[in-house]
Amino acid sequence: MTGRTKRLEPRVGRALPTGLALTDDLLRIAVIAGDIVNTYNPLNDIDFLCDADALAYVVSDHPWTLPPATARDVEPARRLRGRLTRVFRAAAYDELDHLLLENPPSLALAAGADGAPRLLIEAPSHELVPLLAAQMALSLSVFLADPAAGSLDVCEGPDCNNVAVRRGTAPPTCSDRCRTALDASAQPAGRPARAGTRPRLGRPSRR
Amino acid sequence: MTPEAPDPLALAAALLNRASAGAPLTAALLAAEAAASGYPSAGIDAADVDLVTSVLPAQRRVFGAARETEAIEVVNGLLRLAPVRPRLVAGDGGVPTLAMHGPDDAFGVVYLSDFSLAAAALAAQGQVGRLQACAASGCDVVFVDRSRARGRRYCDIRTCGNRTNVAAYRERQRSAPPGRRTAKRRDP
Repeated sequence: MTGRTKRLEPRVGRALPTGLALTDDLLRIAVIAGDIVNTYNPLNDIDFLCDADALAYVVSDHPWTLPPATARDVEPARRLRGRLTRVFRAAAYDELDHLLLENPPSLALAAGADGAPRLLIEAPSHELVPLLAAQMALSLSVFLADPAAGSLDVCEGPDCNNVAVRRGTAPPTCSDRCRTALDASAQPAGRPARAGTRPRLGRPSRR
Repeated sequence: MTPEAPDPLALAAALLNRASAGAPLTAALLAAEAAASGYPSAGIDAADVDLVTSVLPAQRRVFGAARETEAIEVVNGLLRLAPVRPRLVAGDGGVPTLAMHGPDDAFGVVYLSDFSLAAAALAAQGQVGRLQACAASGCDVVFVDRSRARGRRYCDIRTCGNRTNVAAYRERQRSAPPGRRTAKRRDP
């Protein structure tokens, strides 16, 4: 007869979400906020945010449907960029609080492209930049308030001064190009081929 | 020991079960249930009771909704009724904290927007079906299904679950032909 030497532990109830979690959508919006900041390079004073097409291109990776960018949106987008720059480069998180107060976000469930419900961030104004301000302020706030999410940083790619969203322990990079360059620079130069491995001669003959 | 985070879903289930049992909601009762769910119970007054009572029917429609779209529609209405007021405030150790309410918001507003947000977050994960009503006939109890497999159907398996299973067994015995009836095995 077998005896139970240990008492069974009571099963703990599953913890369900009770608040706004950092979803893939919110993370992507936070990354786009960094992309907007990166449209101006302070080292060479080049501004890529020059017209509506440039603005539409920067936000084209947005996960939700946005109103189309117009020429009237360019100047407000530049002002939003200035405030987001303070958040990324100077850690001025009070700026996010001001953005949340000026553009109070509201939440709504709506069906996504795949039919599944998604929690969207809306704003009182239906214009592009106030909507982006509300979405980016809330997404960045959720990101910063999550201790496991990461941090807002400067890209570690070679010769790059852009800002980037650092996820976990991975080095922050602003783009695939910088990530590839950083990976390549991390490899030791002139690394010899692996010793002890014969060159492959292809499939052996059946004969 | 860290304090428990407020659980608006558990509070909603407790209040709905109290209401279906016929207990009128009072400020003292609301404060007791709020404290049991991790909310501060101080400052709860008659206005909070009125607000919470007015939305109980809508919350009841979320629990055990026949279709997910019906639950989402009700949750969207509740989100509009009690909107969140997110604020990024300085927390301990320099880590900012996201507060979803102003410091002066009444308990009723805080609870309503917390419930809407939690239910919306569940729905966004395709799990609003975890807010369930007991499947036993004649039972009005609602509960939050926290099981890993989302397979919970009854408020209590020893009462409602057992009663339903026994009734189903008897129904099968009645409808089966006489030769196919199975006798319950009894230990010698």
